[in-house]
Amino acid sequence: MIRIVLADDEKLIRSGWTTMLSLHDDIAVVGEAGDGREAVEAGTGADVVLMDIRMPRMDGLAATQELARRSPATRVIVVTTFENDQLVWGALRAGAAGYVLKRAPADELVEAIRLVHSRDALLFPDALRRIASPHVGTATPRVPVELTPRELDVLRHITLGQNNAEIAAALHVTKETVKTHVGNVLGKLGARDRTQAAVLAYELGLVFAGAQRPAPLTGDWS
Amino acid sequence: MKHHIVRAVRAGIYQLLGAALLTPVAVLLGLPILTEWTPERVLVLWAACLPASVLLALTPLMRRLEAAALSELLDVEVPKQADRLYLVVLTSLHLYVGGTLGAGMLALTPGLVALPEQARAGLGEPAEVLLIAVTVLSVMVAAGLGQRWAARRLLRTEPSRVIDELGRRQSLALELHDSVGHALSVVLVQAMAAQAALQRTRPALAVQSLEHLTATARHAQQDLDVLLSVLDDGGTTETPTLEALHTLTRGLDVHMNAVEHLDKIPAATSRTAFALVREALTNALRHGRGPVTLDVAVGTGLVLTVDNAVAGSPGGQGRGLTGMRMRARLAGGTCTWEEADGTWRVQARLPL
Repeated sequence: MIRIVLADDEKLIRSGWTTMLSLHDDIAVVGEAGDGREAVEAGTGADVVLMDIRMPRMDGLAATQELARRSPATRVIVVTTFENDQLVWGALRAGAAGYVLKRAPADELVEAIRLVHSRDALLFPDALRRIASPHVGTATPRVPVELTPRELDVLRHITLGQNNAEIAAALHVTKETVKTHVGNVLGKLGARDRTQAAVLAYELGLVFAGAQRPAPLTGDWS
Repeated sequence: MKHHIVRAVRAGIYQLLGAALLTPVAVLLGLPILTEWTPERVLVLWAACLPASVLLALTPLMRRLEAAALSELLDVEVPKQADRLYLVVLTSLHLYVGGTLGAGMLALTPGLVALPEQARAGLGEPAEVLLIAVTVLSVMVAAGLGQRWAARRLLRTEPSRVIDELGRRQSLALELHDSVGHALSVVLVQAMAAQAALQRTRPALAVQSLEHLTATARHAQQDLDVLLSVLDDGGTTETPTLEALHTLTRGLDVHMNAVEHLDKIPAATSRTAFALVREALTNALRHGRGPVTLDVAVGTGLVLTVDNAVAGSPGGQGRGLTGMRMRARLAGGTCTWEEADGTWRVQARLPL
């Protein structure tokens, strides 16, 4: 059962989401919030928080940051009305696990909730790549990030939204090996999850936002 | 008549001032250029004076002098926050035109300055001299009046029109975002909820969502209606300004405290303010009782306050109030209302 908290300053948005989510047996709405402060209170201890970015008193950005500090296990999905919202990237940097548009179909919303809860893969990697493009190569690491070529490969596959099983198949290694690599990559980047790792990968220029699937490493020598 | 003569004399002096300010630079430029007097070299000097005028106009001191000259000699109201680019343009024009006309006068006036023989216009008869002098003076006055017109057009009491337009566009975007954009989000989410509920055969839930959806959509439609009507009459210059405030209160039980010099308030703000006061008074007379107090104050911005006693139960937010809120926001300000101890108060704040 995924325990979820809805944070939006418009009551009618919350009630719509509640109706949508109440039809799924694996999701339970356990709290609501009308602004960022309430979101932090109600969201502490929850599994997932749907967080509107623009709210009074404390916006979704600050609330996401605060929640990440207080309740590290809670996954935040930020919700935005407009695709080009400048605050989305900041929210992802602040520790949100992903973002959805307010107009996303109900099934997509439910899938997003299940995916971030499972922590297995990145939410909407293509959309993430699109909003990443202005931020590529904008950051310089405080300490040099030294990833092995293998870890860099794993990181690229993470940014493509693949889960561990898919990465294992692509790199011809076991899932356990991938898990170890992913753990090392997150550790070296100082990222709390795959989303933050992807955000940092784009900002540090370790992967290119324009890159499609990486070229297979093993050539065809038949 | 006397008034016209004074104005013409001042316009002439304005040109002479321009000539005087440019003279040192023109002389410096003339030293290397006019080693010998040929028409070509005089033309070169004349051309070289144009960039020199612009460079001079770029100095803050020149612009300050220009602001003083415009207000003292040409009766142009120069705002404190005048658009710098326009002021540079006006200053350059002043120096160059003044310098040109001044030089022309020197060349045509016999014996005034010991110019070389070649630079003299070949003049003989006193009548000719007089005719030319009158012509030059008339040109100076005409140029001065032309510059006055240009200055008044360029230095309106608001920042340049581009910024104005931009500001309006931004507040319109904000208004659309907050009213229609917001409502559309609700409509979408509730529609999707209804859809999901029907798929799972939960009609009661679906009905509830559809009710929310309809109410929100209806409200948004109303908002849009008001916004469009505000935009329709907001941009016209036919709306009176605050100077016509007395026409609103004539014959009504309205107690008014207004600051002096309502005519000094920028036109666009003044029109918005007039429309807001008109709406507030209409509301007060329709829904309130007893006398109405209207207060117009100028602080960091323009503050309008309308108070009246509440009659019976106050209704909800009607079209009038929505329109006032939008009108104020489109002008970059705010409009709020509250009821306290039986007094209904509407307050609008507009930037100046």
